[in-house]
Amino acid sequence: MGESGFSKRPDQLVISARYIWHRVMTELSSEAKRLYLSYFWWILEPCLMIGVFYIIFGMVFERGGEGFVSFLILGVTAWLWFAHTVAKSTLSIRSQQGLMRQVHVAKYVFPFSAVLFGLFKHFFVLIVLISLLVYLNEPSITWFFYILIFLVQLLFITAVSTVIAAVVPFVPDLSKIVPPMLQMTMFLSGVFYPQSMIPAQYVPHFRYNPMAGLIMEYRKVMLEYQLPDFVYLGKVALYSGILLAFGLWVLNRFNHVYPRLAD
Amino acid sequence: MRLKQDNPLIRVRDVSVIYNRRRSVFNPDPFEALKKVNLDLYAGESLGVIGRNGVGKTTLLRVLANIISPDKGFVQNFGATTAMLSLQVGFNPHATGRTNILLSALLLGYARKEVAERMDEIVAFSELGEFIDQPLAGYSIGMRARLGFSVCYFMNPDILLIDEALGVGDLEFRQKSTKAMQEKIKSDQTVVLVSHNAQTIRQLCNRAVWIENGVSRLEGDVDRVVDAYEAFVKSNPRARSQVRPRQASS
Repeated sequence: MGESGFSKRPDQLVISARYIWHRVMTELSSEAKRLYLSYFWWILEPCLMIGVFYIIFGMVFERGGEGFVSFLILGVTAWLWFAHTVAKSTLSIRSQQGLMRQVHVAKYVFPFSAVLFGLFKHFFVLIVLISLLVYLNEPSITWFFYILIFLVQLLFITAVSTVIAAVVPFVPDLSKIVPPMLQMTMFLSGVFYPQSMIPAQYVPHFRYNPMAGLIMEYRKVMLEYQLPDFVYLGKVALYSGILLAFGLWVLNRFNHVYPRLAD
Repeated sequence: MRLKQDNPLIRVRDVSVIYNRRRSVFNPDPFEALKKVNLDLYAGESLGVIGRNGVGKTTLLRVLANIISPDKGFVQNFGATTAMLSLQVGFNPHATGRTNILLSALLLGYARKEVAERMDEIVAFSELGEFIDQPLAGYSIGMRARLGFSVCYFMNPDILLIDEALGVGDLEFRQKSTKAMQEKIKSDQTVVLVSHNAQTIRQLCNRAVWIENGVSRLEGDVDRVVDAYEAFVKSNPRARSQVRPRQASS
């Protein structure tokens, strides 16, 4: 790679941040305007998923037990947040070839927009579903740790989204693998079954999947009134941080290469 | 005439850009769009880049805009902001014309306040009337082009990079936008105008660079360079048909 002596505009970060914000706000409002039920879809989707799991596992297989709805709320909201954001990030850079060829733009703008978009949607869902949790359960001081787990999950989602968005333009086939991978990961994440159903010797392996571990932690602090596993959360945060740093390094290293990749 | 200053805004030296025509990393099919390009760009001047289709002119603009970086050689920018006269940058089809003006301008590096100050001018120039508050999805192609042009026209970078077309839209708007752009080029605005059309370059630029086969052959006074280019094209009629299919581009 030849030396490029362009002086970077000092406010590149500011430009990117402003753009991400307005891009996401526009996208949120335009998505709502396009559909008749607009924002209700955001709530409806997790509710439908919770309903299906409740009918199949709670009523047909009778595996639910008491508090199964709260149990599902925590699993489904955390899962959908992850799955939606990763799915949206996958092509976030690759689909912007036209834009990237016309203006110089820091490439992290695209996955970060997807993350912010997902975050807003998740907030919206949480407001409704957490109020339902409050209604169904006795609040406890351990509920505060929800925020900690939430932040760790946000870091994890950002890291995964950034890396996938950064790699897909080089290996477009990967975008085909992401949806089935997400599907499989959902079944491995204990969205609709409790840890007690997994044979004890497999639990540590099960928790290598951060989504499985995080969903367990949510349920621990919200439903079992226990403290979270701080060491586990620390590890997830650390590995996510390393992954995110790697993703940003790739984006920065190939910042001027992405516009040159064939469609 | 341009007052030649000692220090250029941008200096391009021995720049080479190699595209891989195949996606495969293991079995690449390299193509050298630019081989050895040299040029200097000074403040306030209009530099014409002339050459046949497919000699790497658009690639050169992308290098100047810092969109891609050269594989060999270097580009030195002494602090000037650059932007391609790119039409319809980052438009969201479901948002209104007004919102898209904001998005485009933010992408070009402007603050919300700066956009707000020029919003009325932009809207007026685009002649979109009440459509400006409608979603872009309902616009015709010409209307979108008008919106895109109006944003770029009022959001001035230090250096404006223009690829072939000065004006856009239907006949009437094309005449208006072309005229506006011609005036802008003749003003203090620093411009790099890329074209295969000798007439356009002669009319609008004071200096020119002729690029042939990825190599800058001649740089200097516009008439001297364009004369040489025209003489070359005349004496190489076959050269005209050796046009490479365009690199996938906007």
